[in-house]
Amino acid sequence: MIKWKKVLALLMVCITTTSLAACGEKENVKSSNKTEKVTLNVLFNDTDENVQKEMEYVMKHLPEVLPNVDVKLEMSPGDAQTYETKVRTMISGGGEGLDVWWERGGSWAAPILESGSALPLDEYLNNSGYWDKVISSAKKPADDGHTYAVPFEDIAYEIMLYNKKIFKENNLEVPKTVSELKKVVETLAQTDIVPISVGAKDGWCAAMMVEGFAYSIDPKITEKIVKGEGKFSDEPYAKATEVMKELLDMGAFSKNVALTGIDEALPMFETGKAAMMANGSWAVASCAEKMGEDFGYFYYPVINDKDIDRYGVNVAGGVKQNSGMMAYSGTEHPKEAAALCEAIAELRCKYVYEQKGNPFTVYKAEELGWKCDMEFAEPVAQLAKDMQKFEYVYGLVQDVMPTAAGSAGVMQSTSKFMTNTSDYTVEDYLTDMDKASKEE
Amino acid sequence: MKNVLGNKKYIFLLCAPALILLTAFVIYPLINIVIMSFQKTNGLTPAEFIMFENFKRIFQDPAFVRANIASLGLCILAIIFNALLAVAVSILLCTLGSRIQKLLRTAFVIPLVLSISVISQLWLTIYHADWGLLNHFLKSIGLGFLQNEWLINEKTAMICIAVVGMWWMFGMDLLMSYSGIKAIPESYFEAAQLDGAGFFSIVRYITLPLLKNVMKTCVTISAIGGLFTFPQVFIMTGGGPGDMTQTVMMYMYRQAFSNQRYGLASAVGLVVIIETCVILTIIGCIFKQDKEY
Repeated sequence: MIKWKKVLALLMVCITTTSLAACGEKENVKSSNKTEKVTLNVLFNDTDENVQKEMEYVMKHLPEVLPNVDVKLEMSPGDAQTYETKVRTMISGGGEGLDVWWERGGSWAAPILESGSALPLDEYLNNSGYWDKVISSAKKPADDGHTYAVPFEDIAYEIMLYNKKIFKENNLEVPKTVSELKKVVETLAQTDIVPISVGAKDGWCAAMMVEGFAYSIDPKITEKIVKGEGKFSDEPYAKATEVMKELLDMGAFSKNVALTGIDEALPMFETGKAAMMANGSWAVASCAEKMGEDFGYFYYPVINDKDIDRYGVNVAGGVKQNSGMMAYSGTEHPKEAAALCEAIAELRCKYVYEQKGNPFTVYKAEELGWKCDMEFAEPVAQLAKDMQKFEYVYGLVQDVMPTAAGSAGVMQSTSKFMTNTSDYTVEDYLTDMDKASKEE
Repeated sequence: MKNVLGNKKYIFLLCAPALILLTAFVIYPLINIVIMSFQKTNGLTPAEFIMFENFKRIFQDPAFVRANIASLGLCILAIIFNALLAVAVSILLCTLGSRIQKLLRTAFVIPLVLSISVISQLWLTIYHADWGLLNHFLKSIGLGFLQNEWLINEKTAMICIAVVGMWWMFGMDLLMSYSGIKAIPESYFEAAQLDGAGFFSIVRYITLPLLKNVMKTCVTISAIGGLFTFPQVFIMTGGGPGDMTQTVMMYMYRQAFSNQRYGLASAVGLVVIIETCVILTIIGCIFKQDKEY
């Protein structure tokens, strides 16, 4: 028995030694490969099917652009808050498994930049010829003057989407002034159709609406508020809020509007249950694809009839500051990480331009030789043309608040305002908005 | 065995795995929460000690006070409509035939086996102001005037949230109290019946006293469950519109993850821990055992 035990033990030792040796050899192979290729971890927010397809394309074509980089992609589902929490947690945990990520920008990026966790990309971008490939508005450096993110999201503006078919059936014209909009709402409120669909649950869609109206009085008001030179209770937002209140009283929105998320509001519009929708121009390409000729868009109507000539001249939006592909300052391969940021951004934009017929990119598509087989849908082409004429553009209100608490405050107050209860008046709303703008 | 348990080294060794886990996942985070509650930190930039500033700030914030009142309200509702009602229902259940008992018991326990996420979505379709089942039902039975924007109306929103939590957890309290009653020897009831005791006397002098410990457990679990209400709020309303349905847990979540104020969120956490201890002490006093049964 003891003899058998000894034999068995010897056998076990042999097997273990052989397996360890085999593992060691494998490791050697790996390490010899390491000299040629570097592995970088990429974190990306998996927001919807479109993003998944975009990243499939990016991953397929990355080896052609960066043959020396092995990319480990992690698609992280969830909304911006959940995703950004994950990014911050990974960074505070020492950045393990994080080299490059999609930074959602705005106030989300503030603590990341403050803590020096993002790699400045200036040197790399200057040397790679990146600035020759993009339009001038792509240059949105952080407050310290450095560029930390390579933008790739669509250039987006606050607009109103509308269903041409519903408008035609009800003999309605595109409103250019608030009084015209009220007439449209009045007509539609008498039908089964919801006049305006808006995802007010998260607050930002409705906040964009208020900002859209405020722009017709003073397009620089949001910038003034951010810089501490203005207040939400000043005339532009005060009048815009009154317009919103009137619309609420007229039944312009669905009953459940204050708890309607964008995921519910968008299908409501796309399926023809709502005649208009307050949204960003990022929805134009997909709505044009889904709704065909029934789809159209218009800019926020001006509050004062006399300002009708200013209709569609100043629109909030543009390229978001500190949004796009960012690299972790503690990455072992900063040069490759910066190159990867640029490559992912460019490939993604190329994909949406060529295969989705979406021209709202920061890249000079034609100069880069990108070709789109399909013809741009009429509203898409129109918006791309209009964008060139906008006189004044500043970021969306929810994105430009200096602190996360400020952004959250703006969204929560707006969501509450959309309940249209007598307990929460226009004055209460503006006071809360002013309070939010001062949040530290 | 005696030798093993007599040796302190062995006892320590046997307890070590549990102690290590407890230290890593309970004691260390708790100490960290206490430290963070005195700091101003967003989790990334260096933390700054600000003494009691976070506590001062939360108690001056009307939203925190409202959220705290809402949570305490949910705690009381959970005690009444979960723990106490479950005890009452289980007493009545035990008087029914065994087949009906089985059927009803299963029916009450079904929500418990569902995930709270599923339950929240389910209730969302019931409460929805535009196409919700509740409004449709009211209209179909001729009570259309009672239709409401359930989760948007300040008067109904919090109650609607409370109903979801109570509906979900009722089965657990019922199951515990039902098992508690079933554990009482049948001979006690038979003896009481032979002595001519009626239903109410049996409940008062036999069932309830012998069920005291189970009731204490039910009340404790329900109270904590009510105070810590979070998932249903997060899924159904996100604490909104505004802060209409914000519970103290939702307030803490928003401070930490929306506003990136981890120090402030830790201070809220610490206040809630203290509140929980106070509530548990009160429950302990109420259910204090005067004599052993």
